[in-house]
Order: sequence, then C-alpha cells, then structure tokens
Amino acid sequence: MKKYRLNFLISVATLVLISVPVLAHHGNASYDNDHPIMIKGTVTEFAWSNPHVQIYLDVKDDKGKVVRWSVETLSPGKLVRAGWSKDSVKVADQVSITLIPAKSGAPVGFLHKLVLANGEELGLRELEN
Amino acid sequence: MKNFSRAPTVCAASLFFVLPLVIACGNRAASGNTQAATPDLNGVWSAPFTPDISKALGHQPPFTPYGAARFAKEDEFDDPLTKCLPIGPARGIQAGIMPFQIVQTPSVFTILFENQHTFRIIHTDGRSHPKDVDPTWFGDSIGKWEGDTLIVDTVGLDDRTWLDTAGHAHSDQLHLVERFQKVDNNNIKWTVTFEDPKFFTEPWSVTLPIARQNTEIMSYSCEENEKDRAHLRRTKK
Repeated sequence: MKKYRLNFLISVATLVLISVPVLAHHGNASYDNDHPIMIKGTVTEFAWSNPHVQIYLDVKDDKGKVVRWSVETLSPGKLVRAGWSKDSVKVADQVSITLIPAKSGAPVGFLHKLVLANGEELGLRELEN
Repeated sequence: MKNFSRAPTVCAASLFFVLPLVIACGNRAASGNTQAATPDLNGVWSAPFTPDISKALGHQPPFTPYGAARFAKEDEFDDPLTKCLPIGPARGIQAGIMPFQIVQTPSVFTILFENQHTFRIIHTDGRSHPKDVDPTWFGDSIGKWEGDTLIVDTVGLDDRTWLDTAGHAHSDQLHLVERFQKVDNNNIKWTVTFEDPKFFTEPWSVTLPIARQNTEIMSYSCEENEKDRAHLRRTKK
C-alpha cells in the first residue's frame, strides 16, 4: 500500500477531503475513507455493469512501470442519475480519478470523481432528500 | 294535466343531476368505499441513506446481553447485502442505497425496491397474520389506514437480514411496526419500531423523512459483475 501511495499519490496534500458515503452494496470499511488520492492513467476498460460500474486504467509510476488499477463506482442506474452514460468513458481515454484506496494495498479504489482530458468532471450524486 | 305534461322534463333533469352521483357512489362502493379517503402514496421515493441506524436513534438500541454480544461480533465483511442476499423490509427503506417505488391499490400496498429488484407486499384487505409464519426475507406484512397514515405490521422475518450496514442483527422474533404518514404530496414521515425480545430489552423507534424522487426505478443486479468481495477485509476479530 505504501509503495502505491508513494508512486501514485499526486498532490494529495492539496486534495480536499470529500465525504462521500460508499453507497455500494457493501460497507466502506475496506477503503481508506479519510485519505483520498488522485491517479492519472489510460483507460483499458469501462465495464458498464452491475452492481458497480468498474473502470480499469493503466497508471505509470515514476519509474515507468505500469500498474493496472481497478476503480469501483456505483450501479449504472445511480450513475445515470449523476449524469453518466455508458459512453461517458472510452478505452484509451486519459483520465484523472480521485478515489479512496483499498486498505489492503491492492491497486483498487472507490471513485469520488473522474476528470476527462477535456476537463469534463463526472462524480457521484446522492439522491434528492 | 299541465303538471303531468312537465313530468318527463323534470324526470330527465333529475336524472341529469342524480345519475352521476349514483354512479359515483356505486364506484366508491365497488372499491370498498375507501378509495376517496385513502391517501395516495404512489410514486418513487427515497429516505436519507442511514447505514448505521443507531445514528438515527441517537444511541445504541437497548440491547439484551445477547444482542450486545452479537453487535460486537458482527463484521461488515459478513453483511448479507455484501453477499447479495435480500435487503429486508426496513433496511430497504432506510439504507436501501437506491430508491423504491410504491404501487398502491385498495387491497395491497407494494414497495418495489430498485435494490436487487426485490419487493414487499403489504396486505391492506383486512386480513390477519397467518397463525404459523415461516420466516422469509421480507416477512408477512399487513397494513391498515388510519387517516393520513398507513400502519404496517410485519412478522415472520428471516434472521439472516441485518437492520443496517453497521451490523445491527435481529432474530426471527423481530416484529416491525411502521407508520407511513403522508405529510404532503412530496413527503412521507416514516416511523419504524423494532421489537425483538432476543436482541432488545424493549421496543425502540426511529423516524426518517421519505422524499419523492424525480426518477424511475432502474436496472440493478448484485451478481452481474461482482468484483468487490475479493478485496473486502474483516474489521473485527
């Protein structure tokens, strides 16, 4: 975990803590909710599927080694309500993703926000209450 | 003679005004005479996501020693929802993650959860609970209207569901009483009372607002492409 943090943590000190409850079918105890990080990479797969849309991307560390990250989001239905579509992200897109990383140390995280190369931001939106 | 000659006109005029009333009364009688007085809660709704129900209560529920021991032991890793099992009746509302749709008729009040596309059927036809209820994921629910409020009584609940994500479990002796009070067209005041002599020393209640949502129930399947369980970790020993 520490290795990935060092390699991929980008300006974490400037990140504003985003308190987004993990509205997944499981709790968020496996994620480091207090320490979101940002990664940049190339999308290899955008799996528009239940229970969570998954984004896979290759991220280069400072030595040029490529690590495949798996980023969990919410269900397609919830993402549609937040402004996403199945075409929002495409293979080969260059993206920046703010996420909370898995405590296990695996290159896995839960998305808070995605920024496309054109600057378009995609996030999660809670239901209207 | 003059009066008799006007009789058909008077009768026709009377029918013009009276017949619609007769038809209207007949329709009300056919629908159990309750349709006009029953609040309409049809629509898509959601309550604030409350993954730890003790936060809504303000403190932990009044545990029995057994209930406290179970809560100390339950780990999010073992959450039945993580295993893609059904969410259960009350958790589906207060921590369902997704909205739900109410479809209401005079004899049944149904709640269609987007979460796993599960549903509750609440009988409002005056029946009682069966004498012997086999536990099921959503139990046996009966409801009755009292003014602007639907009161729902549920027994026969499978003890494998949890009350929330935090690990508040229950036994098959759980008895739920819910009150769906229509505040206005866009708001419901929902109060749920949990009674379970095995887990709690006394009944306890929480109240949450339910708000109408400008959306539709969308597709969901927990098992379609599940990738999360592999990296989830236990947080309690």
